[in-house]
Amino acid sequence: MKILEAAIKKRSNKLQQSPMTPETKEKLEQLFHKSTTESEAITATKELTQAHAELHRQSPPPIAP
Amino acid sequence: MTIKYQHSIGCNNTENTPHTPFKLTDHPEFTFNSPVGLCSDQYKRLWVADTANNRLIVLDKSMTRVLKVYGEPGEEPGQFNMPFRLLHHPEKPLIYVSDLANRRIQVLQYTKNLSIKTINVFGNTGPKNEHLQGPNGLTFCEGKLCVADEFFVNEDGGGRIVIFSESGEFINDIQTINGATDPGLLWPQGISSDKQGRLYIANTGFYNIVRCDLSGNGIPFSATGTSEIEGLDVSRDVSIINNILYVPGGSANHINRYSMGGEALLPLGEFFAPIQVLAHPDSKTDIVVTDPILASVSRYAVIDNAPLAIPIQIAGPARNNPGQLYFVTSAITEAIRPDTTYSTPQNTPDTSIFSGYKNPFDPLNWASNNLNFWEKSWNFFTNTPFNGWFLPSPRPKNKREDAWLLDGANHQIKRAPLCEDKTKSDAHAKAESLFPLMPGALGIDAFHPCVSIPGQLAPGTALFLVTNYLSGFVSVLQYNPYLDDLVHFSFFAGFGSAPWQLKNPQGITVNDATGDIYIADTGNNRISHWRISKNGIIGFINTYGEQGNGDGQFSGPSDVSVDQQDRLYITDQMNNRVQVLNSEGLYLYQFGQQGYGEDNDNFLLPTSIQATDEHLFINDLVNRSLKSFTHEGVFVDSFSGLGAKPNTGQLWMPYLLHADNDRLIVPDCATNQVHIYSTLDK
Repeated sequence: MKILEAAIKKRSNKLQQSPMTPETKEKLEQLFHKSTTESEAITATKELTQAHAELHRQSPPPIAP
Repeated sequence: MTIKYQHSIGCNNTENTPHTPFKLTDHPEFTFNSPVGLCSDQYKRLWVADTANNRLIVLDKSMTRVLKVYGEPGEEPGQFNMPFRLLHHPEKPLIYVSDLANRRIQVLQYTKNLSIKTINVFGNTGPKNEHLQGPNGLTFCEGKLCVADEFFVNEDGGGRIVIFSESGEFINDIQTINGATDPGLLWPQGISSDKQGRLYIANTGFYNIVRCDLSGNGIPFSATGTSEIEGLDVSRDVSIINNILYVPGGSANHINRYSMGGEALLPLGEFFAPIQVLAHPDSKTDIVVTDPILASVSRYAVIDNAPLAIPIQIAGPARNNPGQLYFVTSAITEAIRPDTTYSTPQNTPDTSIFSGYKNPFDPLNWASNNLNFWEKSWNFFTNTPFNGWFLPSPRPKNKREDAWLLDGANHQIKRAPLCEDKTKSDAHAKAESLFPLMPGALGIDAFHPCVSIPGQLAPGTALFLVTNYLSGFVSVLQYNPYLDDLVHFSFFAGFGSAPWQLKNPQGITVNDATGDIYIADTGNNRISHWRISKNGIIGFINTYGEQGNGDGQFSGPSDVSVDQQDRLYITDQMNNRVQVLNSEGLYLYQFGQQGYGEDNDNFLLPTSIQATDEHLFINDLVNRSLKSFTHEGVFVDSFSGLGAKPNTGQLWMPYLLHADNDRLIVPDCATNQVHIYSTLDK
């Protein structure tokens, strides 16, 4: 049962720690910051949303084989 | 005493499946039930494992039409018990299905017009060491079929990956990853592979993704230097789409993404509980995601540097058909007397419950007070020292008894009549909808005051207390005989870690004799103690416990129950034990330890507990076992079995159970049925 015990220990340690390593957390925060400050990405998201909505509106219902 | 399955509540409408093909919008009564697996075929159609309904659904690529429905519950070829993951053969018109609870793989050869030409079954024959114990994830790697055998257990307690030929001949298995940080595999669920012949395994028990070759040699990621990607909240699956690793649920409500070198990329947010991600067969950028809890299959657009995927199409109408349950988490039994009369409130309680005081929920005010505040306020409001005003109220005899079911995702409490003859099966009992709840409602218990509480519309009936996992509030509801419905009475607590707050609370119990309320304050690793007075005032008393594994310490306490001697029984979930405290929170004793077992006091994530006059009933989640013990912790009996086969009492994700002296009621939030078992003496 050593594998089960190792997993339980890992879980216990995990509960007492941040779920991410400091490096991963920092990296993700940078990425989040980047994504929310880059107007280009935000604009692209909005445009794509609108494009998909329009596409969906214009699409005829699919036909089953 | 034996635990014997009787019947279930909750319909799934599978008997009313429309003739295919049909548009989903034309048939809102057609719903999924915890869908998990996904794959696309040679004609860009999507195949979905409707897991808890034991069938496969084929959707057109727009996901607006159901083209075909295959399968039914059973053990014959073409029948399923929890069809879990789906995989298309790289070249041939074959769909591989991990038939999890039947412990086998089924291979369906389909045609363009969606008829099934042949069915091949394997994984459950031959030498015993070749038998699959719980096949989950599937992938093809260098022409071989690799299966994550989730519930296989070797002598070290570890799991494995089994490698078959494409026609099902056993080749070998992988039980350890050479060079890996962790000692082995544990409950591996998802698996994927790349063109270089490398396997990517969602090693669920170790919360990571591990990479290896077909011989089990670990292959380090350049970003981590090891053969693992760590730091996942949950590791249930891994997919490779456009040279990016997708890990659904890797962070709460997100799909984590990584480069093939293991570097963390921007996760995609705004999901609920995603379990599988597939590249849409007709798009270079879109993905399809299954969410079992939401009972949906959804298509999203993914663009670079955006933290959200854009929903395009959601298949899976809401599960709100009459009698249908949708993430049912808890249940109680209660008899509301049909002749209950309406009472005009003579002394309506102040439901803010803190009239005359500054709001103690304000942290600044709280800082100037202390825990004795509540004992003093009790005396002030009741004008008498607390000495146990409540006596057990005899439950009405010869009255219709209902099961009251907390239907979480429909945001309702539903009610279903129970058979008076407890040995009679009543599989077709339909629940009826009642009061709308806030999202996050989870646990429920009833309080039976022996005296009428001021403001109670139907004196003599119970008050219903409902915990909310998301908000941390506890709602108190009362029965309104005019509406035949539950309505608001009061509320207390709130989200946070201050003593009077709750963080992700789950189970709740009320001592009818004293008005004491105990809540499993899971996120704060403690038990929260409140008390309701004869005037309906609810005051905070104390908290018991802290994070840890010592006596009186907790790691994720999930449920609490109180017996007639006022002892508290707590499922200390992550410590895999039951702890017993007195009514003031002092540690008395504990029992149980981590481990596999269906008929002993081993536990793996004990999730719920209820004390009756003579026994304790415990939901031992990973062991899929409902266990009974004496109050001192001596094992008595159990009912066990993983599966979703109707009318068997099999378990997938049993949650907060309820027991009275001759009946056990167990909501399963994945199969969306509530199972009822008798617990009569032998």
